[in-house]
Amino acid sequence: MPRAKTRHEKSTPEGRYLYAVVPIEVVDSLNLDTPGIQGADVHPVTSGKLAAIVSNIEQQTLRPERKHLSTHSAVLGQVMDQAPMLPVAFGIIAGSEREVRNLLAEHANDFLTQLRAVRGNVEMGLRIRLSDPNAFGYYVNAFPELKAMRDDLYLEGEPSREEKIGLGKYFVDLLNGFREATADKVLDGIESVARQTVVNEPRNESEVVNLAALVPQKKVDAFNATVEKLGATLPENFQVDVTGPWPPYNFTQLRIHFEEVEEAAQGAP
Amino acid sequence: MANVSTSTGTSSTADVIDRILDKGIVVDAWVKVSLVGIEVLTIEARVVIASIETYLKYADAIGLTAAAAAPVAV
Repeated sequence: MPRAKTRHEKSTPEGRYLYAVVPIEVVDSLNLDTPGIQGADVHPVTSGKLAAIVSNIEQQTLRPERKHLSTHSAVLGQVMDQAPMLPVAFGIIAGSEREVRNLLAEHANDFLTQLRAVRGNVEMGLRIRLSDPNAFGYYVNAFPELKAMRDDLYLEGEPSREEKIGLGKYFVDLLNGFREATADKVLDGIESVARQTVVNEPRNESEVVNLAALVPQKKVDAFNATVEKLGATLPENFQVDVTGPWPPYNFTQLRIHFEEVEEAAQGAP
Repeated sequence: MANVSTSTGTSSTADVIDRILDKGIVVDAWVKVSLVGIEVLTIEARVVIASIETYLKYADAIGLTAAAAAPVAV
Protein backbone atom coordinates (compact mmCIF):
# COMPACT_ATOMS: atom_id res chain seq x y z
CA MET A 1 0.00 0.00 0.00
CA PRO A 2 1.68 3.27 -1.08
CA ARG A 3 1.95 5.84 1.67
CA ALA A 4 1.46 9.56 1.19
CA LYS A 5 4.50 11.57 2.15
CA THR A 6 4.01 13.49 5.35
CA ARG A 7 5.79 16.59 6.55
CA HIS A 8 7.99 14.82 9.09
CA GLU A 9 9.48 12.69 6.35
CA LYS A 10 11.28 15.62 4.78
CA SER A 11 14.53 14.65 6.52
CA THR A 12 14.84 11.30 4.75
CA PRO A 13 17.14 8.88 6.59
CA GLU A 14 20.41 8.27 4.78
CA GLY A 15 20.76 4.58 5.67
CA ARG A 16 19.55 1.89 3.28
CA TYR A 17 18.47 -1.54 4.48
CA LEU A 18 19.17 -4.17 1.80
CA TYR A 19 16.89 -7.06 0.87
CA ALA A 20 17.89 -8.40 -2.53
CA VAL A 21 19.72 -7.84 -5.81
CA VAL A 22 17.80 -8.25 -9.08
CA PRO A 23 18.58 -7.71 -12.79
CA ILE A 24 17.73 -4.20 -14.00
CA GLU A 25 15.26 -5.39 -16.64
CA VAL A 26 12.72 -6.53 -14.06
CA VAL A 27 12.67 -3.30 -12.05
CA ASP A 28 9.91 -1.46 -13.96
CA SER A 29 7.43 -4.29 -13.55
CA LEU A 30 8.25 -5.13 -9.91
CA ASN A 31 5.47 -4.70 -7.40
CA LEU A 32 7.12 -3.75 -4.09
CA ASP A 33 4.17 -2.91 -1.90
CA THR A 34 5.09 -5.17 1.03
CA PRO A 35 6.14 -2.78 3.82
CA GLY A 36 9.83 -2.89 4.71
CA ILE A 37 11.57 -2.79 8.10
CA GLN A 38 9.76 -0.32 10.37
CA GLY A 39 7.07 0.12 7.74
CA ALA A 40 9.34 1.98 5.31
CA ASP A 41 8.62 1.90 1.56
CA VAL A 42 10.62 -0.68 -0.38
CA HIS A 43 12.23 0.60 -3.57
CA PRO A 44 14.99 -0.20 -6.06
CA VAL A 45 18.41 1.50 -6.28
CA THR A 46 19.86 0.92 -9.74
CA SER A 47 23.35 0.78 -11.20
CA GLY A 48 24.24 -0.57 -14.64
CA LYS A 49 22.57 -3.94 -15.22
CA LEU A 50 21.52 -4.39 -11.59
CA ALA A 51 19.20 -3.07 -8.93
CA ALA A 52 19.25 -3.48 -5.17
CA ILE A 53 15.93 -3.68 -3.37
CA VAL A 54 16.17 -1.45 -0.28
CA SER A 55 14.21 0.63 2.21
CA ASN A 56 15.28 3.75 4.09
CA ILE A 57 16.30 3.23 7.70
CA GLU A 58 17.35 5.57 10.48
CA GLN A 59 18.70 3.02 12.90
CA GLN A 60 22.32 1.99 12.92
CA THR A 61 21.72 -1.48 14.28
CA LEU A 62 18.87 -3.93 14.19
CA ARG A 63 18.00 -6.70 16.60
CA PRO A 64 17.01 -10.01 15.07
CA GLU A 65 13.52 -9.77 16.48
CA ARG A 66 10.79 -11.96 15.11
CA LYS A 67 8.95 -9.02 13.51
CA HIS A 68 12.06 -7.83 11.67
CA LEU A 69 12.96 -11.33 10.51
CA SER A 70 9.47 -11.85 9.15
CA THR A 71 9.43 -8.44 7.43
CA HIS A 72 12.75 -9.27 5.74
CA SER A 73 11.34 -12.65 4.65
CA ALA A 74 8.07 -11.14 3.45
CA VAL A 75 9.82 -8.59 1.21
CA LEU A 76 12.08 -11.28 -0.21
CA GLY A 77 9.09 -13.55 -0.77
CA GLN A 78 7.36 -10.87 -2.81
CA VAL A 79 10.47 -10.22 -4.93
CA MET A 80 11.10 -13.94 -5.42
CA ASP A 81 7.60 -14.44 -6.79
CA GLN A 82 8.26 -11.91 -9.55
CA ALA A 83 11.90 -12.01 -10.57
CA PRO A 84 15.24 -13.80 -10.44
CA MET A 85 16.94 -12.53 -7.31
CA LEU A 86 19.84 -12.89 -4.92
CA PRO A 87 18.81 -12.64 -1.27
CA VAL A 88 20.76 -10.41 1.11
CA ALA A 89 21.35 -11.66 4.66
CA PHE A 90 19.40 -10.07 7.52
CA GLY A 91 20.66 -6.79 8.97
CA ILE A 92 22.81 -5.39 6.15
CA ILE A 93 22.59 -1.58 6.20
CA ALA A 94 24.46 0.72 3.81
CA GLY A 95 25.34 4.24 4.91
CA SER A 96 23.74 5.83 1.86
CA GLU A 97 22.20 5.19 -1.53
CA ARG A 98 25.55 6.06 -3.10
CA GLU A 99 27.21 3.24 -1.19
CA VAL A 100 24.59 0.84 -2.54
CA ARG A 101 25.26 1.96 -6.11
CA ASN A 102 29.00 1.57 -5.55
CA LEU A 103 28.47 -1.95 -4.24
CA LEU A 104 26.46 -2.91 -7.34
CA ALA A 105 29.01 -1.37 -9.69
CA GLU A 106 32.03 -2.87 -7.95
CA HIS A 107 30.62 -6.41 -7.79
CA ALA A 108 28.49 -6.38 -10.94
CA ASN A 109 30.19 -9.43 -12.44
CA ASP A 110 29.78 -11.54 -9.31
CA PHE A 111 26.13 -10.57 -8.96
CA LEU A 112 25.35 -11.22 -12.63
CA THR A 113 27.11 -14.61 -12.59
CA GLN A 114 25.19 -15.71 -9.51
CA LEU A 115 21.92 -14.39 -10.90
CA ARG A 116 22.43 -16.47 -14.04
CA ALA A 117 23.07 -19.54 -11.89
CA VAL A 118 19.85 -19.24 -9.87
CA ARG A 119 17.52 -17.81 -12.53
CA GLY A 120 14.39 -19.93 -12.90
CA ASN A 121 15.18 -21.91 -9.75
CA VAL A 122 14.02 -21.86 -6.15
CA GLU A 123 15.48 -23.30 -3.00
CA MET A 124 13.72 -26.16 -1.22
CA GLY A 125 14.62 -27.23 2.30
CA LEU A 126 14.63 -30.86 3.40
CA ARG A 127 15.12 -32.01 6.95
CA ILE A 128 14.92 -35.51 8.35
CA ARG A 129 14.55 -36.00 12.07
CA LEU A 130 13.71 -38.89 14.34
CA SER A 131 10.04 -38.90 15.23
CA ASP A 132 10.95 -40.90 18.35
CA PRO A 133 11.10 -38.34 21.20
CA ASN A 134 13.92 -40.35 22.80
CA ALA A 135 16.69 -39.96 20.23
CA PHE A 136 19.31 -41.73 22.33
CA GLY A 137 16.98 -44.67 22.91
CA TYR A 138 16.63 -44.93 19.15
CA TYR A 139 20.38 -44.84 18.53
CA VAL A 140 21.13 -47.42 21.22
CA ASN A 141 18.67 -49.79 19.59
CA ALA A 142 19.82 -49.00 16.06
CA PHE A 143 23.52 -49.57 16.81
CA PRO A 144 24.14 -52.85 18.69
CA GLU A 145 27.81 -51.87 19.15
CA LEU A 146 26.71 -48.76 21.05
CA LYS A 147 24.35 -50.76 23.20
CA ALA A 148 27.08 -53.28 24.01
CA MET A 149 29.49 -50.50 24.96
CA ARG A 150 26.84 -48.89 27.16
CA ASP A 151 26.04 -52.18 28.92
CA ASP A 152 29.71 -52.81 29.46
CA LEU A 153 30.42 -49.39 30.95
CA TYR A 154 27.32 -48.91 33.02
CA LEU A 155 27.09 -52.47 34.32
CA GLU A 156 28.71 -51.64 37.61
CA GLY A 157 27.68 -48.10 38.35
CA GLU A 158 29.05 -44.87 36.98
CA PRO A 159 31.94 -45.13 34.47
CA SER A 160 35.02 -42.92 34.77
CA ARG A 161 35.26 -39.54 33.00
CA GLU A 162 37.67 -41.03 30.45
CA GLU A 163 35.34 -43.93 29.74
CA LYS A 164 32.49 -41.50 29.26
CA ILE A 165 34.51 -39.35 26.86
CA GLY A 166 35.35 -42.52 24.92
CA LEU A 167 31.69 -43.48 24.73
CA GLY A 168 30.68 -39.95 23.69
CA LYS A 169 33.31 -39.89 20.93
CA TYR A 170 32.25 -43.30 19.72
CA PHE A 171 28.65 -42.09 19.55
CA VAL A 172 29.60 -38.93 17.61
CA ASP A 173 31.45 -41.09 15.04
CA LEU A 174 28.47 -43.41 14.69
CA LEU A 175 26.08 -40.48 14.43
CA ASN A 176 28.17 -38.75 11.76
CA GLY A 177 28.41 -41.94 9.72
CA PHE A 178 24.67 -42.50 10.04
CA ARG A 179 23.94 -38.91 8.97
CA GLU A 180 26.28 -39.12 5.99
CA ALA A 181 24.81 -42.40 4.81
CA THR A 182 21.26 -41.05 5.12
CA ALA A 183 22.17 -37.80 3.35
CA ASP A 184 23.80 -39.79 0.52
CA LYS A 185 20.65 -41.80 0.09
CA VAL A 186 18.55 -38.62 -0.07
CA LEU A 187 20.98 -36.95 -2.50
CA ASP A 188 20.82 -39.98 -4.79
CA GLY A 189 17.04 -39.94 -4.60
CA ILE A 190 16.60 -36.26 -5.53
CA GLU A 191 19.40 -36.06 -8.08
CA SER A 192 17.03 -35.91 -11.05
CA VAL A 193 14.98 -32.99 -9.66
CA ALA A 194 17.70 -30.84 -8.06
CA ARG A 195 20.28 -28.80 -9.95
CA GLN A 196 22.48 -28.30 -6.90
CA THR A 197 22.44 -29.32 -3.26
CA VAL A 198 24.04 -28.13 -0.04
CA VAL A 199 24.20 -30.35 3.05
CA ASN A 200 24.11 -28.29 6.25
CA GLU A 201 24.85 -29.20 9.86
CA PRO A 202 21.87 -30.84 11.59
CA ARG A 203 20.38 -28.73 14.38
CA ASN A 204 20.45 -31.28 17.22
CA GLU A 205 20.82 -34.99 18.00
CA SER A 206 17.33 -35.79 16.74
CA GLU A 207 18.05 -34.33 13.35
CA VAL A 208 19.63 -36.66 10.82
CA VAL A 209 19.72 -34.64 7.61
CA ASN A 210 19.47 -30.91 6.92
CA LEU A 211 19.89 -29.97 3.28
CA ALA A 212 18.91 -27.39 0.70
CA ALA A 213 18.26 -28.10 -2.97
CA LEU A 214 18.19 -25.68 -5.88
CA VAL A 215 15.18 -26.80 -7.89
CA PRO A 216 13.87 -25.48 -11.24
CA GLN A 217 10.59 -23.65 -10.56
CA LYS A 218 8.74 -25.96 -12.90
CA LYS A 219 10.06 -29.03 -11.11
CA VAL A 220 8.89 -28.11 -7.60
CA ASP A 221 5.92 -30.49 -7.83
CA ALA A 222 8.19 -33.22 -9.16
CA PHE A 223 10.60 -32.54 -6.28
CA ASN A 224 7.80 -32.94 -3.73
CA ALA A 225 6.62 -36.13 -5.40
CA THR A 226 10.17 -37.51 -5.46
CA VAL A 227 10.64 -36.80 -1.76
CA GLU A 228 7.30 -38.43 -1.03
CA LYS A 229 8.50 -41.55 -2.86
CA LEU A 230 11.83 -41.41 -1.07
CA GLY A 231 9.99 -41.22 2.27
CA ALA A 232 8.44 -44.59 1.51
CA THR A 233 11.92 -46.14 1.47
CA LEU A 234 13.02 -44.58 4.78
CA PRO A 235 12.41 -46.08 8.25
CA GLU A 236 9.08 -45.49 9.92
CA ASN A 237 10.57 -43.48 12.76
CA PHE A 238 11.95 -40.84 10.39
CA GLN A 239 10.00 -37.64 9.87
CA VAL A 240 10.78 -35.82 6.61
CA ASP A 241 9.97 -32.09 6.50
CA VAL A 242 10.05 -30.24 3.21
CA THR A 243 9.92 -26.43 3.21
CA GLY A 244 9.95 -23.86 0.47
CA PRO A 245 10.10 -22.42 -2.04
CA TRP A 246 12.73 -20.17 -0.48
CA PRO A 247 14.88 -17.47 -2.05
CA PRO A 248 18.18 -19.15 -3.01
CA TYR A 249 19.97 -18.37 0.28
CA ASN A 250 22.09 -21.49 0.25
CA PHE A 251 23.12 -20.91 -3.35
CA THR A 252 24.13 -17.25 -3.06
CA GLN A 253 27.66 -17.26 -1.77
CA LEU A 254 28.85 -13.68 -1.72
CA ARG A 255 30.74 -12.33 1.24
CA ILE A 256 31.99 -8.86 0.43
CA HIS A 257 34.72 -7.25 2.49
CA PHE A 258 34.64 -3.70 3.66
CA GLU A 259 37.82 -2.44 2.03
CA GLU A 260 36.54 -3.10 -1.46
CA VAL A 261 33.40 -1.04 -0.88
CA GLU A 262 35.40 1.73 0.80
CA GLU A 263 37.75 2.02 -2.17
CA ALA A 264 34.84 2.14 -4.57
CA ALA A 265 33.21 4.88 -2.55
CA GLN A 266 36.38 6.94 -2.56
CA GLY A 267 36.91 6.46 -6.26
CA ALA A 268 33.35 7.46 -7.17
CA PRO A 269 32.74 10.89 -8.66
CA MET B 1 7.95 -45.85 5.67
CA ALA B 2 8.71 -42.33 6.91
CA ASN B 3 6.09 -39.66 7.24
CA VAL B 4 6.66 -36.77 4.79
CA SER B 5 5.21 -33.33 5.46
CA THR B 6 5.37 -30.47 3.01
CA SER B 7 4.84 -26.95 4.28
CA THR B 8 4.69 -24.19 1.73
CA GLY B 9 4.38 -20.60 2.80
CA THR B 10 4.31 -21.28 6.53
CA SER B 11 7.89 -21.69 7.58
CA SER B 12 9.08 -22.14 11.12
CA THR B 13 11.20 -19.42 12.66
CA ALA B 14 14.02 -21.93 12.95
CA ASP B 15 14.04 -22.49 9.20
CA VAL B 16 13.98 -18.74 8.56
CA ILE B 17 16.81 -18.10 11.04
CA ASP B 18 18.83 -20.92 9.55
CA ARG B 19 18.88 -19.03 6.29
CA ILE B 20 18.64 -15.31 6.77
CA LEU B 21 21.25 -14.66 9.45
CA ASP B 22 24.34 -15.61 7.55
CA LYS B 23 23.46 -16.88 4.10
CA GLY B 24 22.95 -14.87 0.92
CA ILE B 25 24.87 -11.67 0.19
CA VAL B 26 26.84 -10.46 3.21
CA VAL B 27 28.70 -7.15 3.17
CA ASP B 28 31.01 -7.43 6.18
CA ALA B 29 31.13 -3.78 7.17
CA TRP B 30 27.43 -3.31 6.74
CA VAL B 31 26.36 -6.08 9.10
CA LYS B 32 24.36 -4.13 11.65
CA VAL B 33 22.79 -6.94 13.63
CA SER B 34 22.79 -6.34 17.35
CA LEU B 35 23.09 -9.70 19.03
CA VAL B 36 21.68 -8.39 22.29
CA GLY B 37 18.46 -10.28 22.80
CA ILE B 38 19.08 -12.82 20.05
CA GLU B 39 16.78 -15.77 20.33
CA VAL B 40 17.97 -18.79 22.24
CA LEU B 41 16.96 -20.96 19.34
CA THR B 42 19.61 -19.37 17.15
CA ILE B 43 22.31 -19.83 19.71
CA GLU B 44 21.35 -23.47 20.17
CA ALA B 45 21.47 -23.99 16.44
CA ARG B 46 25.02 -22.70 16.34
CA VAL B 47 26.51 -24.78 19.09
CA VAL B 48 29.32 -26.72 17.52
CA ILE B 49 29.24 -30.31 18.56
CA ALA B 50 32.42 -32.26 19.33
CA SER B 51 33.79 -30.87 22.54
CA ILE B 52 34.64 -32.79 25.69
CA GLU B 53 31.54 -31.40 27.36
CA THR B 54 29.43 -32.70 24.50
CA TYR B 55 31.00 -36.16 24.73
CA LEU B 56 30.19 -36.27 28.43
CA LYS B 57 26.65 -35.06 27.83
CA TYR B 58 26.12 -37.76 25.20
CA ALA B 59 27.58 -40.45 27.43
CA ASP B 60 25.18 -39.46 30.22
CA ALA B 61 22.23 -39.51 27.82
CA ILE B 62 23.25 -42.97 26.60
CA GLY B 63 23.72 -44.13 30.20
CA LEU B 64 20.18 -43.02 31.01
CA THR B 65 18.82 -45.31 28.31
CA ALA B 66 20.29 -48.21 30.35
CA ALA B 67 18.44 -47.04 33.44
CA ALA B 68 15.24 -46.80 31.46
CA ALA B 69 15.68 -50.29 30.04
CA ALA B 70 16.77 -51.97 33.29
CA PRO B 71 14.19 -54.13 35.04
CA VAL B 72 12.97 -52.65 38.28
CA ALA B 73 14.25 -54.60 41.29
CA VAL B 74 11.53 -55.80 43.60
